[in-house]
Amino acid sequence: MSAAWWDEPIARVLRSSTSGFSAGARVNQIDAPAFGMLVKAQPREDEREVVYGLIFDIHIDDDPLVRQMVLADTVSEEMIRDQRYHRIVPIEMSVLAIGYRDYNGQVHQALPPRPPLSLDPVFLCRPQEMQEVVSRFDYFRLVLSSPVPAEQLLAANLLNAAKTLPEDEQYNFLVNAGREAARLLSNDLARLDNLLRLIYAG
Amino acid sequence: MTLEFQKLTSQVDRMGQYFAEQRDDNDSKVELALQILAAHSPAEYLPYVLQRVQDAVDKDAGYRGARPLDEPIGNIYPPAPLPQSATVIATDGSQKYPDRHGAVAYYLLNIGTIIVHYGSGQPPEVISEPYLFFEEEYTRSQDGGTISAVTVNARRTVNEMAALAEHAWSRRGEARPLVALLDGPLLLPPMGMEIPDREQLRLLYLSAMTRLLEVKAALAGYTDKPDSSFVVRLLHLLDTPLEEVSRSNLADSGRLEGLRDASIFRRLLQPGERTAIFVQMSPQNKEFRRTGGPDHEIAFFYLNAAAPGESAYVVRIEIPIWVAQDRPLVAEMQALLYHQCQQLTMRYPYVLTRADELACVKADESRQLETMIQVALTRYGLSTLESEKQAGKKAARAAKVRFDVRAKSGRER
Amino acid sequence: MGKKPAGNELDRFFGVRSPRLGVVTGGSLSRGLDVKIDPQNDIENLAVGRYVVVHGQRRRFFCMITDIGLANTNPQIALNPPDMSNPLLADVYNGSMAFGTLHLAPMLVINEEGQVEPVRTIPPHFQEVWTATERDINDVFGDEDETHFNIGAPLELLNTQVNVDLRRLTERSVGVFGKSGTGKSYLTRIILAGVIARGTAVNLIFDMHNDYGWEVYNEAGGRDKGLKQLFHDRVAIFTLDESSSRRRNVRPDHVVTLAYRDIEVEDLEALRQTLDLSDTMLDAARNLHRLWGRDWILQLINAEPDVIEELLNVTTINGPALMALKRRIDRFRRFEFLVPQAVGDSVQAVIDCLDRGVSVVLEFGRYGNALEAYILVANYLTRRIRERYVHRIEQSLGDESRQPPQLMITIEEAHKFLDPQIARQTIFGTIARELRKYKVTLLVVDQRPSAIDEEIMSQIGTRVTALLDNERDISAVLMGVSGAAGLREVLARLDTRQQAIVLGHAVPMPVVIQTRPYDEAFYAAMGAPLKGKKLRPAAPQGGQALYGDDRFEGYD
Repeated sequence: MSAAWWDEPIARVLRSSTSGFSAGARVNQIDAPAFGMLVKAQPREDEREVVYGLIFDIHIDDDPLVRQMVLADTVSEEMIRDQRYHRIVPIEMSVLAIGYRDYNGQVHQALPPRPPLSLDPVFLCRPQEMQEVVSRFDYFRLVLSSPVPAEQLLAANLLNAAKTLPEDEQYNFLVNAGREAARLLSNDLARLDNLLRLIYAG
Repeated sequence: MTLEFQKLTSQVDRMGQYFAEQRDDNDSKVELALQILAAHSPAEYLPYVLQRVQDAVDKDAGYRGARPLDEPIGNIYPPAPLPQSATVIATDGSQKYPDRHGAVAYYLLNIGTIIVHYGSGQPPEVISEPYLFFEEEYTRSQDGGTISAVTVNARRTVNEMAALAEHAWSRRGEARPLVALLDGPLLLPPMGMEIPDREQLRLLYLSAMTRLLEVKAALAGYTDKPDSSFVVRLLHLLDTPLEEVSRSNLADSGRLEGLRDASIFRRLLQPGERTAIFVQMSPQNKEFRRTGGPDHEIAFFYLNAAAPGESAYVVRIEIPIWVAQDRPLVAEMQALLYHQCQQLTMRYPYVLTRADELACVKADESRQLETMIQVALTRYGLSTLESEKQAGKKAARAAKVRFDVRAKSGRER
Repeated sequence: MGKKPAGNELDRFFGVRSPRLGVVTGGSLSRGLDVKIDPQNDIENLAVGRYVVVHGQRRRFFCMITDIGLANTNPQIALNPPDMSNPLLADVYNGSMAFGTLHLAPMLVINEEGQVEPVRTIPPHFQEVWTATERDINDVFGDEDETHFNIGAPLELLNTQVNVDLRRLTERSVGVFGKSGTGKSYLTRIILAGVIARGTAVNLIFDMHNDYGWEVYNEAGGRDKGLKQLFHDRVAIFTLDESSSRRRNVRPDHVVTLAYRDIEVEDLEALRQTLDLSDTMLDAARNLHRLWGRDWILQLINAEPDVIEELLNVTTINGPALMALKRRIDRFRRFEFLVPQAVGDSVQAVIDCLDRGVSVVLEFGRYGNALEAYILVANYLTRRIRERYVHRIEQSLGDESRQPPQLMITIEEAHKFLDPQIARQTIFGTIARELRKYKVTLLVVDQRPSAIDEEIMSQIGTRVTALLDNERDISAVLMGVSGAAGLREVLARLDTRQQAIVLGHAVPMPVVIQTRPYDEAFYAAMGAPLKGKKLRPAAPQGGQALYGDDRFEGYD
């Protein structure tokens, strides 16, 4: 995504609960937000919490036009690119809540006390904000015990977070994260191995 | 649930029977029509056919059917090979009608255009141009009230053509052939008294078409499910002995009555092929020719947009005479249009679908516009009130869905 | 993804505090503490014998690493080891699921006031464990001063000092142990040098193989200075074999001779094992003494067969025993230091030196290889010297100024003197048991500590042990030392040279040391008198070079 997008909401909340929320956006496919990204639902008034979460599912539903193109015999390059770059498609993303910022500005890694409300704008988190939110690894347990593709999600999230650090700190960050994961997954080696391989491949 | 399906089953069944009878009836008519067509197809019959049409005109028989342009009526033409490069422009428009219950009168036209640069591999250009009309000269009708939907539609149609011409003009240096495509007939429908500026509109439309002529763009109007029967009427004319040609006899198509052109040509056209070019003998077309010039007369042909192996799908393409006279251009346009129809299984040109999408104003966008306007008006001290009935209906219709982490997407209750 | 960073050698070089070793996870006072090693530590850099400090809530617990192990949080991982060629996986698993463990023997405690205490409790769970720093070691071992002498440095902390308390060293007997070739005489020399330099005690050293007095050979084939060369007139060299000494350019201060008539049957008791003397033979000896008087030995040696025969007819002396005895006594003829008439009183000569504070090194020359000569002479001299010590101390009635100086007697092949069978018979057994009642203690040097009588071993307060590999020897050395069970592994893994464990009375806690080098710096340090904490260079003597003052600022 282009760097200028921090200040613009990328989506708006459709439905929510304390475990997370769905947000809808209309974007072209090239600019769609990515799996594993850290986003926040920012209330429009100050008395509610900012809810942070990880995108664990992105839906780009097919529509009749796309279905027709798929089933047709010939689809030329210009039309495909038209779909990708121009065609505004409704994207729905599902976000797993991993923390919140209370109205004193303090970040907590726990389920938020209240869910975001419909139409709350959803923003991508800036690198500094991401570092602040995921500076502790307490949220791993939450992710690993949620009914989401946990290892893929955590790996994607950690790789994104590592990229915001200076190059010489990235490796150590990932090792420390891996050790915390090892602590939590010590009795499920298959999952741990899967997670570590996903991180390493990144 | 408000549709009682049990009460509909018998009606639906009767519908099936009805259309089946129609089809059987149809088939015999098609056979007859094909015979007549075949009989008059050889090239040497062309002058004869033209003469028969002229006779009908001379007799003032009120003939509204087709006349061949200069191709034998049974001729079938394959498309040219798909050009390596070309520029295809399609424009469509959409509108937001004025709200009679609104505090202020305004309407919106939204014109969408897509420009595909064939052979470049680049994504097409997409443009949406909204126009907001609120001055009294635009919104007030003859009788002092707000203008009707019909007026807005007419203005939209003209704006589509104008926008198309504008874009074609600015792209005149791009790859050739340059195709300019609209959805629907090219002939302006008759405009009634209720349209205050019908004269200006007509002139605007024609001058846009002239622009397209100057640029040598292949202008075309695309009709998807044509129910026209211009050629059927010609065949009926040919089937009627000269001495019997009269207004009353030509009021319907006799033995061929009820038959559509598409039904005949679906039997004859292979995928991608077109019929001969015809001209429709209608007063509007005559008027068009009169006001715009001979080049502006509108001709047409039928095309089978189906893919090989599919059952025939006949569509009608309208073109101005200047395009019709350039056979190679027609063949290239035919190839491009056919290619466009292959992009989608519904066999409708991709560019027109997209132009329609680009023009379309969605419900929430419409509401957002209303909000914007309310805010602006409020800032200037004007109050706004939405009809409460509207607000209630909207809320009741909204579907209720809940967020659940387990579900991939929300489930509707 | 970032690359794995290179190690932090620069940090180590500049002495930045090393990372935490780990946390205490279990254990007990008797068994020792278990520690889980933190991930960032390289297990290959750890070794048994090193000191670590457990930072308890109120105290610092000084412990020695006695074992190193591997553990995991999930046994599955041992059955299905991860792919270690993947660096990220390796770094994650190492230290989290698969980690190293240490076993520690708590040695002593430094309390909140900074005082050293014995270990009577343990730290709670999860207290941090750190490598001992120089400051930690210095807190325990203090500085060198009049009563503390540096004998080496702990492993991996070569800038610190292990300073033994010389007074406590000489309060009880000292044992220097180790397999042959592990440098026992080297260690002993350093200890003796310290005792002499500080004047803590005066020494009598029975030097079997010319290892102590003058120009000793080192393993590199060169020659190191002997105690006399270091201390000049504070050390006297006596010899049993004058020609051997002179050949080595030694000018002995006294040639020791023993008169035959001065040898008593009790002196022969000490030779019971070495000469294979039975009770009946000793009975025969006593009989002969009674019959022939003090010259009985000479007479026996010179006796003709008919004299023997007549003797047997006249007395109840057992014939075969007498013959056996004669055969053994005949061997004494080889010993030229045994003379019919004594030349001076060697015992008095020794005592005179000791009284003046001069330590005596007795060289044995060619007799060093004759065990019976060694035992005979050492036992003879010691008995008499001790007797005089007892007499003088009893006479002094508690007045220190009238008492003789503290004496430490060095004997080698100690198990020959202290074997369970003869320990009661030799004077050395008595001295060892007496502690310092009569101001005499032992420094025993031996490679078979398991052959030493257990009771006597338990009286040996300070034990300096180089490498031992015999289970019984190791047990013998560690017996009676609290918390020593864990040191077994450490002892068995010492380097063959220049490493030793010091444990017991003279040190606050057992410590593995790299022995202090016996080189020019050492010579210079021995030559310089100690004034406060700074040592000044010695006045030039006999060709010794001068060193600049700055060389000795805050020595070592």
